[in-house]
Amino acid sequence: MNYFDRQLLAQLSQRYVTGVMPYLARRRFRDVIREHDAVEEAVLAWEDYFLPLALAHKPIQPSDLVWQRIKREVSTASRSQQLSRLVSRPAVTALLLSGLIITSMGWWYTEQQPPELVTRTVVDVVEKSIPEEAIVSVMGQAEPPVWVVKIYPKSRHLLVAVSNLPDAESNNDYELWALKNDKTPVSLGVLPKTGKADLALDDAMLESIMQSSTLAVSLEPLGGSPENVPTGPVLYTAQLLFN
Amino acid sequence: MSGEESILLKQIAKGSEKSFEKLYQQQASKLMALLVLMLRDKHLAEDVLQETMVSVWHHSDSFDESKSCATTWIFSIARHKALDRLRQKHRFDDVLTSDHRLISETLNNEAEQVRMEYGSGLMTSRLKKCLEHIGQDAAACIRLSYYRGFTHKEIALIRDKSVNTVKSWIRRGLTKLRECVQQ
Repeated sequence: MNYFDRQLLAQLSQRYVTGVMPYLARRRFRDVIREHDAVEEAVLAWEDYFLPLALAHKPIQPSDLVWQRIKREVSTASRSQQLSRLVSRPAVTALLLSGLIITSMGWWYTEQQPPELVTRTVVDVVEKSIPEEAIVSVMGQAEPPVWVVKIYPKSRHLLVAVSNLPDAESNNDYELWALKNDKTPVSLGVLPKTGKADLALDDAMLESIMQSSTLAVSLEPLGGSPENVPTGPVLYTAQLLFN
Repeated sequence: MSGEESILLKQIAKGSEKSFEKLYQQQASKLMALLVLMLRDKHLAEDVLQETMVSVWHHSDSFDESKSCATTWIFSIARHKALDRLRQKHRFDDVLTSDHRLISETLNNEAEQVRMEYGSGLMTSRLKKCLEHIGQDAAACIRLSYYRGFTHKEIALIRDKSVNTVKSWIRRGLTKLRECVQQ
């Protein structure tokens, strides 16, 4: 079928929009819409033309539960998508650090700089690659780093992907901590040993991140520390640089 | 009409949950009105509303304001999801074996008008008047096609008319209805 014949295209688009196209034909036509801009434009022109019919009704409020369900569904799905983009970004995986750096767009402050950190160059690279709201942490001294962590304070979650953990402890878990300026540790959750994870951040966690100058990873029993402090050895630390 | 919605969609494409919530607050009740009319079931309408908004979230980066306005884009998603549900719900066989008299009565205004009497909203009254203006046959065919997703052939069987007659009624009726509603 020649979808670029104007008359045919107009006819099919109108049939699709007015609802008279049979089900299987609709599904095939939908694929055509996706594949060809000209077809999509023709369809949208008819949709626009008939929009007054769609709008000509008295509004009806949906129940509050609908929004709750929508929020839940998009939160789960979109964080997975963001994480996929995160670990595929060449700029992030190119952060080959000796030591750990956490940077935040917009402001930085150094309390102390371990001599092995190549700070200025890495910060430049990170600043070019990080989305506006993310705080990025690259954990581990190896190349590539062990975990790549992105903290989104505004949307209250943390995305983490395992980059290089070849000898993961099977009888232990790795737990992430924010160390507040008074050295009080606040758990941010157990880190994945493979793949990716999306960890929600509650008020206490967010507050601790904003008040922290250091993140740390400790080795804990399976399921994480049984107490509110690290109980195993601290394997990695990272310093916060606020610009 | 939807300059603000376009801006919201662009922000949603960048992951703004706040803009998404604002868009929902602006559009949800209008979408529900259309979906309840199409699906005749509030719970089903809410399901489709949920699917619509989730689609908006995932595909907001594909919205192109040079091709359509934001409202058209959003309502198009909703309407076609509803049409898909209707096509799954009522197969042609079901139409053939249904009580045609009941269907005819439904089509012949009474149930439709009661359902459309939401209150004294200007647009609702206007639509009702416009549907009367274009004639009973055309109005009935448009309800069956635009709002219910029946094909020409199915409508022809329901109305006991030829397919060409139905096509003609729908084509002329939609144009007149749109002009009337927009006045």
